[in-house]
Amino acid sequence: MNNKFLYDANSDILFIAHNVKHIGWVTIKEQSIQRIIYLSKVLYSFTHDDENIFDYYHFSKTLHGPYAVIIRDSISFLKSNKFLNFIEGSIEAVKDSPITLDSTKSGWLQAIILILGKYGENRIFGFTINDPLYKEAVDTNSQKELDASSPENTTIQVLNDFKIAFEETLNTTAQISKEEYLDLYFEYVFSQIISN
Amino acid sequence: MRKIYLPELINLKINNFTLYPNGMNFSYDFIKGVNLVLGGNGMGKTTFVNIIKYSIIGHYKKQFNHTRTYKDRSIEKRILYPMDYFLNRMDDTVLTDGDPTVEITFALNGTIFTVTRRLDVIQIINITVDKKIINGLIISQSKFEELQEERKTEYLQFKYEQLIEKYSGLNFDDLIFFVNEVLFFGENHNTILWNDGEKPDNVQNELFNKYFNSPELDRERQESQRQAKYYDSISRHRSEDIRAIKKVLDRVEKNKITSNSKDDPFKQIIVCKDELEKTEFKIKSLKEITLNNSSKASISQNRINTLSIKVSDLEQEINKAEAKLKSKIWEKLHPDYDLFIENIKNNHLCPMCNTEDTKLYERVINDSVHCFSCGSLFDKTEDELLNSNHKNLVDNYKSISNQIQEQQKSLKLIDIENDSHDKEIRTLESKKRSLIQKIRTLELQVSNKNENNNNKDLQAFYEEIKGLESDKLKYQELSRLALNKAESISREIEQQIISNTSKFSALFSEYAENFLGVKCSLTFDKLTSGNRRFYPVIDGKTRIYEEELSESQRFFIDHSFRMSILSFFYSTPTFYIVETPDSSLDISYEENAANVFIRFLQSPNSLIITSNLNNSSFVNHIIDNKKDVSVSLVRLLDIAKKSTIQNTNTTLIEMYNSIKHKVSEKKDEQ
Repeated sequence: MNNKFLYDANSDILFIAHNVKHIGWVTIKEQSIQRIIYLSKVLYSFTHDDENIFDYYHFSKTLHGPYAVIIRDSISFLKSNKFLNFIEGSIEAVKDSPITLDSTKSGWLQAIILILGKYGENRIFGFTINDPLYKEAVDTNSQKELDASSPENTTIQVLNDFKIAFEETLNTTAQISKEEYLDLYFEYVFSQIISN
Repeated sequence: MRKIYLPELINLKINNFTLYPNGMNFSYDFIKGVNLVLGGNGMGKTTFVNIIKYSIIGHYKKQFNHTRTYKDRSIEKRILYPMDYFLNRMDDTVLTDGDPTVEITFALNGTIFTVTRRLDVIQIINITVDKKIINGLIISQSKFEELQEERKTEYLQFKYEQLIEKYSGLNFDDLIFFVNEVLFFGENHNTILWNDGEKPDNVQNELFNKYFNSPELDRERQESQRQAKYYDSISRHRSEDIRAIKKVLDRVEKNKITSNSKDDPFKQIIVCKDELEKTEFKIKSLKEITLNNSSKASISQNRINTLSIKVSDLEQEINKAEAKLKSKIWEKLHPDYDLFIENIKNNHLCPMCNTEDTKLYERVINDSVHCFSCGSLFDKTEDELLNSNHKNLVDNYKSISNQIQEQQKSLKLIDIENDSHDKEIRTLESKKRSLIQKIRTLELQVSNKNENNNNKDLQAFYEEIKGLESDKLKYQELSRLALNKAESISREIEQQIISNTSKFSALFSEYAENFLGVKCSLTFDKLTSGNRRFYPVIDGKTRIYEEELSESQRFFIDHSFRMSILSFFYSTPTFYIVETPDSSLDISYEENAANVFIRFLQSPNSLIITSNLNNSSFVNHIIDNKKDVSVSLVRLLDIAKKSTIQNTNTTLIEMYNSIKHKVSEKKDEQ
């Protein structure tokens, strides 16, 4: 058990449990936390060339979507330490994390949560479940973790296909932050999906 | 997906072949079911199945051989077995009144082929297709292979190949491949599921490339692969030439006592380039090991996730069971007691001070009847059923938890190994950079050097090396380009394979689970430095290497794989030959093994099995099958040499006769 990773996950999860309140969710299910972090990890690779800041999450495909054991372990830690309350199968944050997230990570998680709020859980999660990386892992009966950071990752390839067309709709990408970029990007992707 | 038709065996006639002196006009009708070839050592079981193979594809061992070069010219030809293979098996004390021949009758999508070949000289002597005689010149296979393409057309062998292509949808080389590599599980027991290119042929890769696309695209892919191999071999030859010249230069330098050869830039360039090549090779090997390790780590991570879900589910069940067991003390138990236990189990931490505590974890895992904190015994119900249910759940929980811990240990080891490789790679990369820099400087020095240098006499050698090096790089690049092209075609095909993996895997499961009795599936993945391919997943574990399974498990998993291929692409009946499948089976697997084959015969197919009756119960399981699959006997013991039969142990003869009797009884019943 690597405690550093556990404490990193603890901070991420507490941050998520607190911040989903901004989009009107009082409680959150473990499954939703798994999906939010999975989405954060995959999309981080899409907009960043550097090492993935979520690389201590190792996801597998399951019947209920992506799953990383460290999230389960962290939730059990946080419940036992009374940072989280467990109400009818859902989780509610009751205490703030003693560890503050660095701004890159908090900004990123915040952006993902806002996108969730904007487009709705089902649509975004539908996007996660139907994403090519996930789908291919299911189709090939893959026994490996879902590799969100590999350049061969099919999700990133699909996102990149959209990216070229999307960037043509922007005047310049230099002036906007990565989070804004992602927000605009999704606006574009969903407008394309809806219009098609 | 390609529509292809494989041969459906109808009849085999062997004439004047003196290995079987009591069957000089031997005829055998293949059945859709099990065709048993039984006999002791030396009776000609292997020869018999080789005759079947020979009668269909001739004496070809490999459909293609390449990269034999003479002055950089590639010589491409098929590989043949020794021409006197059958001749050497004949008994020259027996007189015959005709040539030894084999005649096979088979169908290709309803068209009936009858092909007659000589067994003493390797040649086709007669072909009829739907009873119509095909005319052509007769030639031995070895001579035919030496002919130039345009001169082959008038021969019967060429016409046969054309007809095969017309009616099977496969070209003749493909048929050689299928019969040798897929439809025949020979005595050498080579598996195709694990063959990933380290062996001479990458059978899986070839197989799926052939099935899943148009013949044109496959030809293009094969051609690119051949080119890549061919250019690679030329570039290797250049490397060898450079080494040879370098050796000569070394000798010359040794003899020149006065020369300050160490400072000679020409010499230094060669030394540096040699060193660079070695360094690049080391980096490449280390990267391959790291990649393989990462795949293993990824599989372990996934397994931990999967097992953890099982553990979480079990934990919930245990909690429910314990709630019933501890019902009496429920009122005084801390409301978060279960949360604490869960935290201990998942994180190995003390829930009070959050310090890592492995002993506490072990105590909690092994003992749920005492309080984890003070050790007091819980009052428990005496209900035996509840207790035994709880015990089963806890045992299961412990076993899965142990598996998780084992996976975590192996992950740790991989991490340590990969860290040390990463460091080594970084050092080597830096060495590589400085060598490249040094070579550049030296080359600049050489180009500026006055012509009247004291190495004038050796200049020609250095020039030759330079030329060879540029050639080497050129061919390396050509090889890389050809390989990229082949891989890009393969990737197109991969998409088709991916979309069919679950269906294919389900078929495999049916066969493999019949044998092993545990959950089996196939995963299509890239787990080593080789291509993406199918790997078996047995009881949740991915078996990357065949050595991870026992001999008999390995063979039957491979049979399962081959039979699922044949079932997946089933269009018309075909055949599958297995030599001595019972040789490595222990008693507990015999019935399962028989069931694997019986499952294959649920669609009309001919299975040809040889057995030396080392143990007759496998054969008996086959005959006694409940699915009413027909069984027929190739009576080798009746046609083999008298002396061989006389030397045969009486027990074996009795076993043979009893099976013969049983088979004929079964036939009568049907």
